[in-house]
Amino acid sequence: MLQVNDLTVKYDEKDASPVLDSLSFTIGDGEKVALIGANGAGKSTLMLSLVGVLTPTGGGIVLKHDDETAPEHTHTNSPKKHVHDTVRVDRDHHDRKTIGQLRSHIGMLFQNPDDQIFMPLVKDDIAFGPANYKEDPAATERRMDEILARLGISGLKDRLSTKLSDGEKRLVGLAGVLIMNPFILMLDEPFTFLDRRAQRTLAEILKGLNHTLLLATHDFHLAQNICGRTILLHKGKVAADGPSKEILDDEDLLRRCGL
Amino acid sequence: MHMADALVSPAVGGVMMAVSVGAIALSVKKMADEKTLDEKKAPMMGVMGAFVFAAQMVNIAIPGTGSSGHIGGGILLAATLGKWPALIVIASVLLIQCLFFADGGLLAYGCNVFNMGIVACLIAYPLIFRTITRHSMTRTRIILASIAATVVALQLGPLGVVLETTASGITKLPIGTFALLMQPIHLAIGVIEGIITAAVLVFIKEVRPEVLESAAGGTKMSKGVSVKKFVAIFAVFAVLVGGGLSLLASSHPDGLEWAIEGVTGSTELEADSSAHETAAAAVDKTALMPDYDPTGDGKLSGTMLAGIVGSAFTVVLAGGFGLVIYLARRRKIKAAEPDEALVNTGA
Amino acid sequence: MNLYTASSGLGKMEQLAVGDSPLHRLPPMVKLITTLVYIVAVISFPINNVSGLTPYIFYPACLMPVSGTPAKPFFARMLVALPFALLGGVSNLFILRDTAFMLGGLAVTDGLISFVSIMLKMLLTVSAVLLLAATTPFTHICRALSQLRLPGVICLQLLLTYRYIAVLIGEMITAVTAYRLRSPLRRGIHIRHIGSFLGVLLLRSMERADRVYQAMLCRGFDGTWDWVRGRRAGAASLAYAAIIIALCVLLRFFDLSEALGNLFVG
Repeated sequence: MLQVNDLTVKYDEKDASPVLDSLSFTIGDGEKVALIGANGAGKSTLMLSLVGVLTPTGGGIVLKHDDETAPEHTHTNSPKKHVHDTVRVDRDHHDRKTIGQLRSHIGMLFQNPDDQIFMPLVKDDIAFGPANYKEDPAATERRMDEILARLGISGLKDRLSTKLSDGEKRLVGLAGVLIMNPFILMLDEPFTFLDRRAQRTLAEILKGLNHTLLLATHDFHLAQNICGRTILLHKGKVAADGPSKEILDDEDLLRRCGL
Repeated sequence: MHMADALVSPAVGGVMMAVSVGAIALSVKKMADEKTLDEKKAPMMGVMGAFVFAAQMVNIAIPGTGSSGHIGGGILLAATLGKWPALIVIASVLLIQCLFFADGGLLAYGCNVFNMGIVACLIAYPLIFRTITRHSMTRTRIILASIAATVVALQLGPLGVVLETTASGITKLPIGTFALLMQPIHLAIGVIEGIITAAVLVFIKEVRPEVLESAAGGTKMSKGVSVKKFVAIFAVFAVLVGGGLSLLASSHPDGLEWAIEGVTGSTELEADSSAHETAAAAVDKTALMPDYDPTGDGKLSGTMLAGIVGSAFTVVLAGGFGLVIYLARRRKIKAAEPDEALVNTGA
Repeated sequence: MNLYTASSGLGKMEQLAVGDSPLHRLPPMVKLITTLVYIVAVISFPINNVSGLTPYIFYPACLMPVSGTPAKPFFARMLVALPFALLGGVSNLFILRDTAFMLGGLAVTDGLISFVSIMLKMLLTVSAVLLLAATTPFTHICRALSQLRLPGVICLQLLLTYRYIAVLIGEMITAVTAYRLRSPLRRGIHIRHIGSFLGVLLLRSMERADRVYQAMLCRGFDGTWDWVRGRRAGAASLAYAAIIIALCVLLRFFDLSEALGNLFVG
């Protein structure tokens, strides 16, 4: 379970208005939530704060989970996982260890796949995460094969990173995040750069995952398809939070929030 | 300015490799010590290295000349990343150029890192660029500093090429002639590249001045130590230059005069042999491999004939071996994939 | 080399490097060391000794087909390394005018001998580096460098440089094309605009580096990077290294071609 409590983020202490203004919401295990808002509303900022890249100016995040509700890919040889973890992150709790724990539970797929795939060979890139945690290479390779098969991209394992189509890049990036066994998966506009077929493939895969999902997107159709709940951000505040169909069909609301 | 292996001797290559490796090791140590540098440097240096690699290939039209210029990147990198990371970035780019494009030899790598990395990032940048911009980074100072530092870097670098090649002794091009070929051209190139660097840095100053300031900040912290090191490097350099030049000058008339002499006197035997004597004397004194034996008797000795015949035979034999291996491998590959053809013609 | 050829060149080389052959399967450190020994041996020859160099041709002649390295990249690389070697070789041709011997009616000068020697050295050294690059993925080269005590993070940034060259070249090409479509100039970027042209791309690259850094952090990166040790060098690899090194040293001092020639000439 992810609890966001009065989260306030300013890029610069001296700024009068914060980028995120006292955000509060809770996401339960296994929930799939769409995050929508106009450009500049704070979607990316929120995500970067949730992975500890940005430090909260006020408020904080609490991450609680029990092993019973872990997604199906969890393997106990992943050294960083603890059962019954509670991670508390706020302005005063932003040390290396806490952030490291936070990041082991939340995975993020960045908007531009080229920023995410930074090794020349696909298999080396996917193994980057586990390698940082000094996982046994043989075990990593086994899990990699599983995940690649699950995403339908086993053939890309030995491919060069520069020789991937945009859709393939997305999936390789996703594999690299999934192999970290996060409980929560955040995706920052994953459907950009994709053609219709690639979008459909990705949507199907995301629907089939057991992970808790936070999906920032401009594509309302796909958002409704994948996520039962939607949070609408406007100028750093939560403007609406409820069932996707309700919010995404409310034209007036959307227009008021700059969409 | 990239040097190939063929003109470098093992001694020179080895020494310069040691110097460059030492400088890289020093950079690594400095980066670990300085608090301004954090883990961010790895991706930053990586992406900036890629940027410089790509930027070097952009054609820049120089008005009035009809030719194009390019950016080298040493001073630019030092001014935006700091001198220690800049050296490592240049070294990385040079390694990739060496391995993938044969732009620079493998044993000559140390020479290239020195001529294009150390000279720009550890000598020209701190001693000239930083000196001019230390008090304030105004637009004028940036322009002045960029051009001055680049010109110096592009004089010392080619000078390094000249010295290293001459010291290797593979080419007998007299140092004077060589320098005459390299230095004036690089003066012009230096000015142009300096202007380009200045333009980019001025732009960055206007848009994101903190980039330049933080790079300079890194240099500032270790000012005391670095100045000493550079004086030491310069001193060594000066000794090498002075010693090398005096050695050559004592046994060898001025390069240009000699060249003219040789050309005008080529139809006359006397002039030819006197030029040859002087050259032979110079060669004997400077060659690192003193078993060079100027024969001059015009006769084809038995050893020579054997050498020629044997060489021809060796080449043919090597070619034959190669062909056999090639055909054998082709057969093996074809035999291993009989289904490929079926798959392709099927669907 | 321009933007367009560079990215395809890199891609082609990496494609070759992930192939499979006895040479590909050797540990990268072994290949690095044997290549260096070979190059040192070749360039240590004095400029009047051509016959002694010729046996070294066996190295590329045999290993290129064994590894499946095509000839085309070889010629491309020769072209790049040529100017510098040509400068040295041609100047020697003019400077060393003394006749070494007469071959038929042709006076073979010391200059000609040294020219041939330099060209041969260039051929051999370029092919040696090509063999190294075409049979060793760059990741492995970085790993070998880390085994030589270069810090893991530095090797990682080398790998990142390599990885992002293709991306940066793409950005550069897009920017150049966009510029060209809006300017009458046919030759490149006008120096008047170069400040903002490269400046914007430079800052964009820095921003990209920030994003890459964030992505790395999110996957557990902490500023250190340990390269996983490759397989230990097996007996076959060590035997290969020993043979190559021994041959390089032996042939440096024993002129095989001359000996063979002596058999013919008597």
